[in-house]
Amino acid sequence: VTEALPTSRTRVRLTLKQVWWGVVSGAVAVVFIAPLLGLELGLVGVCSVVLVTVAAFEVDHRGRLRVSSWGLLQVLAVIAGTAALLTFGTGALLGQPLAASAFAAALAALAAVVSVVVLRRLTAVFSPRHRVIEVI
Amino acid sequence: VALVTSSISRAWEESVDLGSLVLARLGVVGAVVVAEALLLWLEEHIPAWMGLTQAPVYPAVHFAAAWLLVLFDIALLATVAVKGVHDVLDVVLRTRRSQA
Repeated sequence: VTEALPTSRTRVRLTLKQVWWGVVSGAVAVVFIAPLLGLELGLVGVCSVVLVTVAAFEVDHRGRLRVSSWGLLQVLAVIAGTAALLTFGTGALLGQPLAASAFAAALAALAAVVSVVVLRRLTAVFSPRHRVIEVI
Repeated sequence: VALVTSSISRAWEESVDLGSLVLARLGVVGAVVVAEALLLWLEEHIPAWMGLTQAPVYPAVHFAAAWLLVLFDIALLATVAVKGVHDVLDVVLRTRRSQA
C-alpha cells in the first residue's frame, strides 16, 4: 500500500519495523500504567517509553552507537532510567501528585525493561545483523 | 490481500517516505469506517446478522482498534521527532568537522 500510494517526497524516511517497535513498547507501557494510575499518567508513560525505545532504535540503526554491542544490563539501565526520568518530570510538570508520578515512573521503567528484554527478541530489534537505514 | 501483504513486508525493512506512511494510515481509518458502515447495514437488512453490534466483544474490538491507532500515531510522531533531532545533530557534527 505504502509503495502504491503517491509520495510527498519528504526528507524523512522510516521503516514500518521501527514504528511497530514503538507501537508494541507503547502498548506494554499503557497496559502497565493506565489501569493503575489513569489515562493521563498512562499517556505520559506511553510517550516517554516510546520516545526512549525509538531513540535507542535510531541510535543503533545509524551506527552511531551499536546498542547490540553493549552489555544488556547497560542498555536496560540507560533505557529504564531515561524513561523513568521523563515520566516523572512530565507527570510533575502536568501537576500530578509526586507520589503518583514516581509510581508511574517506576512502571514506565519496568515497561521499558520488558519491551527491551521480551519484544527485542520477537522483533529482532538491536540484532547485530540489522541493516543500517540509508540516511538522506 | 497479496498487494497489502507484499507492501507491508517491503516497508518492514526498507525505508519508506513519511508521506506514504501517513497516507496508508489514513487509508486504514477509511477502511475501518467503510467496514463499520457495512456492518451496520448488514445488521439492519439481514436477519441473521441482527444484534451483532450488541455482542460483548464488539466494544472490546472498538477499544483495541482505537488504542492501536493512538499508539501508532504516538510511535510515528516519536520516530519523526527522533529522526529530526538526529538529522540536526548530523548537520552540526558535519559543520564542525568541515570547520576543523
